[in-house]
Amino acid sequence: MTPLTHEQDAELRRQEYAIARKYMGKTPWIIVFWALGNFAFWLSLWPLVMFAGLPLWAGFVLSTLSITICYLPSHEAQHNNIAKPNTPLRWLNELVGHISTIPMVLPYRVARLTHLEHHAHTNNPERDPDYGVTAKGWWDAIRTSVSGRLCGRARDRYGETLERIGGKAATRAKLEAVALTVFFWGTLTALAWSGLALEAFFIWWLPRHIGVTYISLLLSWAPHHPGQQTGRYKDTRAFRYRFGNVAAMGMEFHIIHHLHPSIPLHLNMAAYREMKPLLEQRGCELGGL
Amino acid sequence: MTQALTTALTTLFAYGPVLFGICFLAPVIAQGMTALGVAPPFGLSPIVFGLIIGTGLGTAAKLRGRWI
Repeated sequence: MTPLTHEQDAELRRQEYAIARKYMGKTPWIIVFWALGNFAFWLSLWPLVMFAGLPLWAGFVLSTLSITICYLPSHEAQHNNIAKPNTPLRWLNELVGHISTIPMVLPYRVARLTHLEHHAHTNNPERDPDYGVTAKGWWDAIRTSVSGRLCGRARDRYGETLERIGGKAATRAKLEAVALTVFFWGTLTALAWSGLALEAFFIWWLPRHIGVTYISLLLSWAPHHPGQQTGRYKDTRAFRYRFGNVAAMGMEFHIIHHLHPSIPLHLNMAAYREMKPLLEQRGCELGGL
Repeated sequence: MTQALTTALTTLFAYGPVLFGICFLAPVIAQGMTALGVAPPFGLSPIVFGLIIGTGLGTAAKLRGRWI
């Protein structure tokens, strides 16, 4: 591909930002309802299974779906997409950020700090906290994600990132991580020794592992595969997921998110369609979308 | 106080696999066997059997540094 001249680059960038601005700035209420509704739904599964006769297998399936989709509202909050700092709805941004990933046992402050580092250093083997999921293909990516957690084969990249960031923010994030981890294991232990071990296993422990694996695959691995290129227009790609964009949780258009993180998730596809000719001129990997 | 808490938590997390085996895996095994109608061997109660297996697996995971 012929390199762009300085003028061409500037003009493409001007057009790209003009498109992006159209999709930014409005409160994404659908994300707020998704966060609060999904958290309430997941909580309701416990009494439904324990007291209202919902079969455990159904609770397991529903919990797995709920935990799998719980990360993305927090992801929007990490980018201040629900409300910017020092605005009236800032509390809602932080509420969504904190509660949506409780079922996944992912502390909001840890998620935010490490995710912003992922954006700053995408595909950098040493500095990208999500680089650990890099793999040759789909099955390798699943194996890498699972074995990293269950087989002790993974570097603690999130811990390393927090150490590197340092300061009060990292310390608070670590404290939040300890508190949430102790809460998680304390709750599982209390449930298990109260005769509810199978409920704890099938509504929280196993769905969490499945959800984390799926999120790693769709959010961290697929959009950045093969994980070898860095740079604004090279480190993220569009891709076609065999089960569709809904099952991909919108990640087919993750390239838009990396270019313009302030565009909310549900508007990425529309922004992509408008921006596509510009991305093609830049030689972005668009996966035939 | 902070140092003592840090030491306690570090020790606790270092023995995570063993604690997981005792605190979670053991009752999961016991209640799973009961739900499936499987009797433990040697006349053991389900929870004793669960504790033996859970502690054993947790200790092995701690020593090997991995579960699988």
